Amino acid sequence: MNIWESIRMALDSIWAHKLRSILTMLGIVIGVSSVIIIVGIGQGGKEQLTESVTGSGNSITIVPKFDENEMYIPDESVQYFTPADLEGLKRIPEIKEVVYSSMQSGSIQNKDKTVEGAMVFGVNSNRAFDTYGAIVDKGTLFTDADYQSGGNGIIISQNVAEDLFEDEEPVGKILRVHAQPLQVIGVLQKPTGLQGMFDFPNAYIPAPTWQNIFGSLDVSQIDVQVESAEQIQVAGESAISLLNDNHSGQQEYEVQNFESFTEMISKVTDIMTLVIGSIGSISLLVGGIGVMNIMLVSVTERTREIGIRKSLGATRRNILMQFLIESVTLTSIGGAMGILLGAFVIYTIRLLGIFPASVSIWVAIGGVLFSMLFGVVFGILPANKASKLHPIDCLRYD
Amino acid sequence: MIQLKQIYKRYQAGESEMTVLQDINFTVNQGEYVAIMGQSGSGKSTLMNILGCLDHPSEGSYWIDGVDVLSLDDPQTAQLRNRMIGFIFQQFQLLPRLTAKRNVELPLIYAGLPAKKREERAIESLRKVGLEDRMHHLPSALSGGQQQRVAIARAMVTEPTLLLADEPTGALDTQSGAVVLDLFDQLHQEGKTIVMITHDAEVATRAQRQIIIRDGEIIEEKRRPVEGEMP
Ligand SMILES: Nc1ncnc2c1ncn2[C@@H]1O[C@H](COP(=O)(O)OP(=O)(O)O)[C@@H](O)[C@H]1O
Ligand SMILES: [Mg+2]
Repeated sequence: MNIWESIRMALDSIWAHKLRSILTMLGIVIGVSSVIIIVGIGQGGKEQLTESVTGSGNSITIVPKFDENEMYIPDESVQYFTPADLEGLKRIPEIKEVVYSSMQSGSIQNKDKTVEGAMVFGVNSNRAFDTYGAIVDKGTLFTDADYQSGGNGIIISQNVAEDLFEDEEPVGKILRVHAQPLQVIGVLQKPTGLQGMFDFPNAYIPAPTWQNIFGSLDVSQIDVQVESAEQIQVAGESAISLLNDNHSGQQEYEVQNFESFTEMISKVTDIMTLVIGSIGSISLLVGGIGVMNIMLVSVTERTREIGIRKSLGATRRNILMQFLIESVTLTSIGGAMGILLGAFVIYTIRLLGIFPASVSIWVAIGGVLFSMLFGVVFGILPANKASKLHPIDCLRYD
Repeated sequence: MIQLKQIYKRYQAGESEMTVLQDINFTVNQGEYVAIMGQSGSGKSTLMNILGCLDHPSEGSYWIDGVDVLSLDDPQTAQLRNRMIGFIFQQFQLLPRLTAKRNVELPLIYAGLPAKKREERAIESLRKVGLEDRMHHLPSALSGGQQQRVAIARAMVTEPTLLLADEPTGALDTQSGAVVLDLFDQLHQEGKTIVMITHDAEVATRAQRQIIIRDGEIIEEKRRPVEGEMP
């Protein structure tokens, strides 16, 4: 007897009890979809983490060292990175370029419209955009000349552009930062992922221009570019020792590490994994037991059918396979529906920009295989019971 | 063709044991048409189930075409039921969710025939019982007589040599019963061996031979007088 015949029989019987089949599948659907969702969120989180750690390429970020439990609030009166520091860093052989930025909040104004409290960055290189993960969507970046002589261009974030220009084309327009007129040369893309969650208004101008507007250059963070990844370690150590020497006794420096950040994220995902994972496995278990239960009921209900089939030449094995395939079909359909539901939730999360979750094809395939396995595990008992029934007992059964 | 020797069937009824069949011995030859008669509860169905390899006797031996069927394992017994024996039940025993054609196809599924062949043979078998035009009907859309004819088509679709019928007309009115009995006559003429249970004396006269059971024992065997011969 062939497998397609068995699958057809299984589908016939699942279809004949539609409502019951759907209710039976529900546990599997919820179980599989929660697993898909956790894995998706975990994967998305990991991708993002690795991106933010390695995405900066061959660069390291150096920041003043603060007490571990202290908030990162730069002291306005301290100049953390002096021009001498910057010159010194540039002379370290492994260091190709020193990218720094100064930041202050300020107001940006277009005629009668004003954005207060925008973060205005003074940058010394277009590489700064890479480190901030800022991508220019419209317009251009600054030129070398802008950086050297203090050009009057400004690149604004998308939300600033919306607030100041609404539907008008911002590129080419003049706006004012603390009364200084500047021309918009570019607009940034709306950030995605974690950064999208903190979408503050911001703007970038060349470092010399920034100094003109805000007074002394006040660098709180620098990024050091090296030629190749192997040099990161050496460059980092040389840079830290130079800075520590220059500021000996007053301030220490460190390479910003993502460990604490990673730890925090993984703590959150661990808790989520635990919660959703327990829901997932409990509902999978309950779903599996539900399948077993329904299959047992189905065997009892179809005792006569089993007797008839046996009298017509079905072997025990035929009957066993019929019920086993029925339960596997049931859980597989449930599993497939769970994957669709899980994927739907994941894409909704993504689309809303809450979290960059993703579903991999392997997880989907794994989900289906796992549900099939569930069908076998929880179907074997009822199927075995069915196959062992005696034909005359069945035929007499009413 | 069939040979039964010292068949006993006992059931445990609480503390005591109940003997339903006692020392049953008989032989049915190839091509014979035999009726088994007896009152309700006399053990006819029990005997029939043993004949059809649906049940094992407590004691005794049973051969079909020289094969000791009680020694066969499950797949062999299933194959025997599939190829050698056609079953007809009083209550038709059609699967209610399958059409007439799908019902008739069932034995062929277990015989491992490909779908196209199955379909051809099922339709052919339904034609023989005159229900070709009802093949897409569910059993619930057919009359009792029609359902029993579908059951006959199903029993005969694998072309078994032995037809076992347990009160095939018991649930039918006289007219549809007559149609069923005519079909049996026709199958008998084609050379099938038929064993039929009935408690209706008139129905039993259709057979060549009558075996009468009372309380699990054969008490009488009658042979129908051959045409022209005096009783
Ligand atoms: N599984 C069983 N357990 C106990 N007693 C049974 C069982 N099957 C049949 N019997 C008994 O065997 C006797 C014969 O039954 P059956 O063969 O069905 O009779 P008939 O078909 O002649 O009416 C009845 O008394 C019935 O109660
Ligand atoms: Mg009976």
